[in-house]
Amino acid sequence: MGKASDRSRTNKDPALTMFPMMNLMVILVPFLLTSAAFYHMAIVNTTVLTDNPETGKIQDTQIIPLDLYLYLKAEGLTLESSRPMYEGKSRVDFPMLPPGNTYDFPGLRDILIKVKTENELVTTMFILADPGVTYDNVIKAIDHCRDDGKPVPSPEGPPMPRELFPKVTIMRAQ
Amino acid sequence: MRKTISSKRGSRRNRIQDIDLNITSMMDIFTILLVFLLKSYSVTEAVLIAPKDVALPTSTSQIDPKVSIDIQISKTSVVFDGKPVVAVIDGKIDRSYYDENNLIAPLLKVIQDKLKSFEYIAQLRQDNAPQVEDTGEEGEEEDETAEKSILVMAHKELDFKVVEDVLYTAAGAGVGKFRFAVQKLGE
Repeated sequence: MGKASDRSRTNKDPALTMFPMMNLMVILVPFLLTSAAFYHMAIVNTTVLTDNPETGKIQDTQIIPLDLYLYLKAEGLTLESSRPMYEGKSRVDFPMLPPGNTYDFPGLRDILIKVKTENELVTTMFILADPGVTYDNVIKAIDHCRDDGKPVPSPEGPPMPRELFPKVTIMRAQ
Repeated sequence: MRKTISSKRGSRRNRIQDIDLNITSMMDIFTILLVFLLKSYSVTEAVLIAPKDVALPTSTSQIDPKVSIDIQISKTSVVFDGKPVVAVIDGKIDRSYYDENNLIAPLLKVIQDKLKSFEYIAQLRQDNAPQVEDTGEEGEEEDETAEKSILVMAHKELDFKVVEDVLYTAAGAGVGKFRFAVQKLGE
C-alpha cells in the first residue's frame, strides 16, 4: 500500500509553485504603475528685473561686464547690447524663417557662440518678449541662450555642452 | 490555479479531471512590465505632476525639480497652491484683476499670505531650534529657505504676457526666483 502511493507520487510531473511570485508581481506592478514617470520633468531657473531691490536682482551678480538683451518680437529676434558684442557689432537682427514663420534660433545660437568667445565672463542674458509671443518660444530662447547644444565628453560625468549665458532675467517690454 | 470539473461524458463513473491553467504567458507579460517599470522608476528629490490642462514646453534643461510652492497657468485659470485664483479668458487675464502697479491683485494677496505663513513657520523653527554652532551645511539650508522661489507650470501655447504678469506679481509679493517646469527633451 505504502509502496504504491510512493510510486504514484513520483510519477506526477514536478510543478513549480508560482503563486508567491505572482503575488509579488501583482503588488509590485500596480505600485510601479502609479509611481511611474512616463516623461521626465526638469526646471529652468529665471529671475525677473523689477524696481523691488529685494527681488529684482540679476542672478548671482550685480556687475555685468556686457549687457545683452534678446527681444522676441512678431517679426523676429533681435540681440542687442549697449556696447559692441562681437566684431564691433552691438545689434543683430534675426528675421523669421520660412516656411512656417519660425524664429531663427539656430542663427541666434551661432552668434551667441561668437559673443561668448569675445566675452567669456558674461553669463547673464535679459529676455524681453512682445505680447503675442508664446511661452514655448521663450523657453526655446532660454534653451538656446543657455548652451551651445553640442555635448562634449567630460571626465567628471556625462557629456555636457559649453555654457553660454545660463543666467536668464526676464524683463517687461516697454 | 486549478479548477475541478466533473465529467460524465464517455464514462459511467464520475471522473474527476484536473485542469491546469497555463500562466506562463501571463508571467511573461508581468516580467516585461516589471522590468520596464523598474527602469522608468525615478528616484528624485521631487516628483512633479503636471495638471491635465497644462501642456508643458519641452526643454534641454537637465536641472531636477525641487519642492516649492507652485503656480499653474492653464488656458482657463491661474491656480496658486492648488486653488484657482483668477480666470484666463481667451488667453488673457481680465484687466479688472490688475491693480495700479499692473500686478494681479488677487494673486498678489494669496502669495503674500503664503509667504507670511512661511516666514512665521521659519521664525518658529528658528526660535525652537537648539543652539548649535553654525556649519556650512546649515547656512546652505537657510539660504534655500530664504530664497523664496516659486515653481511655474504654464501651458506652452499661452501668450508669454500672461506668464510675465504672473511672474511680476509674484516678484511684487517678494518672490525672488522662478523655476519654469518643463518636459525634458528626448525622454
